[in-house]
Amino acid sequence: MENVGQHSDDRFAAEETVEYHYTANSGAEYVVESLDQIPAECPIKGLPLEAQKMFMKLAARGVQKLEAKNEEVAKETTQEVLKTNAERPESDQGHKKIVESQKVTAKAPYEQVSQQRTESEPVLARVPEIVVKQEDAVRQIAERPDMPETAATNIEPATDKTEKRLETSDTQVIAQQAQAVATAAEASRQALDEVVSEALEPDLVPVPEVAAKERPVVQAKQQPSEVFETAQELVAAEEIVSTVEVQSELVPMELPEVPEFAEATAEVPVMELDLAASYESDDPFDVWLRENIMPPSSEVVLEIADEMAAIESIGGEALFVPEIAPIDAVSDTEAVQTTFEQEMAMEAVSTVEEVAPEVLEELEALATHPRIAEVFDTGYWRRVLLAPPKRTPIKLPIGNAEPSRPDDLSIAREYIWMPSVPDWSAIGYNVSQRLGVLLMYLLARLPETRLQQIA
Amino acid sequence: MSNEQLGRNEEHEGVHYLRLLGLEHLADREVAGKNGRFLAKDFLDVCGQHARPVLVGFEDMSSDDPEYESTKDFLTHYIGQILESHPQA
Repeated sequence: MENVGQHSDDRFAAEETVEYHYTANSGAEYVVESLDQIPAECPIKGLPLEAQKMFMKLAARGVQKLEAKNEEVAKETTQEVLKTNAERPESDQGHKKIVESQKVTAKAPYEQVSQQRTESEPVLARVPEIVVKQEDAVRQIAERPDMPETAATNIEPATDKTEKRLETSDTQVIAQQAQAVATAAEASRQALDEVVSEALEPDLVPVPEVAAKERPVVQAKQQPSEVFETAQELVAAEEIVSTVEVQSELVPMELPEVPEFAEATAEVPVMELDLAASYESDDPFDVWLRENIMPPSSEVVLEIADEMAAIESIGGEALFVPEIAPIDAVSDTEAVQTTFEQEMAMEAVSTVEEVAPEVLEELEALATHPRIAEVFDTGYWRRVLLAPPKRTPIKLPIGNAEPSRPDDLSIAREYIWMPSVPDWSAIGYNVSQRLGVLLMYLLARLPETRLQQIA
Repeated sequence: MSNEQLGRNEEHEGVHYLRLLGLEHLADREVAGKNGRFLAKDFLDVCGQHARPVLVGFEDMSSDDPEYESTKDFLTHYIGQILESHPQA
């Protein structure tokens, strides 16, 4: 046996080089070009090398043969199919006619009708002419001398019948055409109605009820501009409702009767109060102060009293202002709240208006006075004015008194106790406006001597 | 590839190759395979993926080929041995 174990000898001769695609039972695919590439799982692997070489050559040749045969069979099959189709009798090729017919049918019906009408119009136009010719022909035949009388008699003029038939035919054609037009018009009208009804279908979007006001209903088929307008209406309705709700919460409080307050403030611009005495006094005004102005906590009142005592101990005067309020002359706000404090503010405003004309000229000068500006520029003022708690007494430094506490102003000599406004920011006052309000309020209640002293 | 494709409508493919190798007498012999029993003439249904190309290649050989007889002898011996070595039903 030839030794084909060497690699160089394992290869087939150049002219016989083959490539055998081997697929093992495991599914693995191999491309075997030489004996040493035969996988171990191949059944011929255990055969003698000569036998493996023979198998390889036969298999490669067989594969080529099979592929060639497959191609030949495929060609033959294709040709047979084409030949069979070509030899198929015309009766079996009805599908082609059907297809052609469908192409014609697929044309727009309107085009067909229009075409048919165009073709039939000349024929219809010739109908009277044809009728006349038929009548003439019948008449000539009937008048022929060789025509028997019976025959002539039997030959009906046919004019009436022909005309009648033609008239009937024309009437039928016209009626059919009219019916077709009416049908088409009805179909178009129904289609249009469907489109319109669909477009106008009130596909309502559920909108929750709004108290005391009907909300506009949003329709699904609205135009964008309409939807936008509706949205604006909804927003307006929401605002109205929310306003109503807010206003419902702001039920004006019943004002306690303070018969003497306005007169007292008008008559006594500067109210020097002994808080401790006021807290214990049975005087109606003191009672009103305790119930409405003074903090309910006795501890706070005592603290205030201590503060005032401290002020007085250093030679100052403790002034008590029961209420502070915005002044229309200073503020341009329209959001005046009808709260109790606001009512009191109106009282104070009236008081200021009564008193203020006497000091307004000086007020203008004071507003720009360096000392006043110094007072207003201090953090103390800001802290006081921005203090959020209601009814918490604030003290306003006035004069050149020594501060009672380290955080007091160095220029403070006198203090004015006054409750804080409910909420300055809620009524639209900024810091400078509040300062102006306080300044006017203070100035309105200070005698000219004090104003001059401050200046 | 079916018999029809091979143009042998009149003869079974397996029988054709067995006859080509002089083993047609084994055609109807029942052979025990791994997946059950089968007739010898249906061996291509079992190992046709590998055996068919070899047999087709042998069929394509010319009898004038100097290796024709030796190849035929080997294939006859090899396939006959496989078919006859399995227990007969």
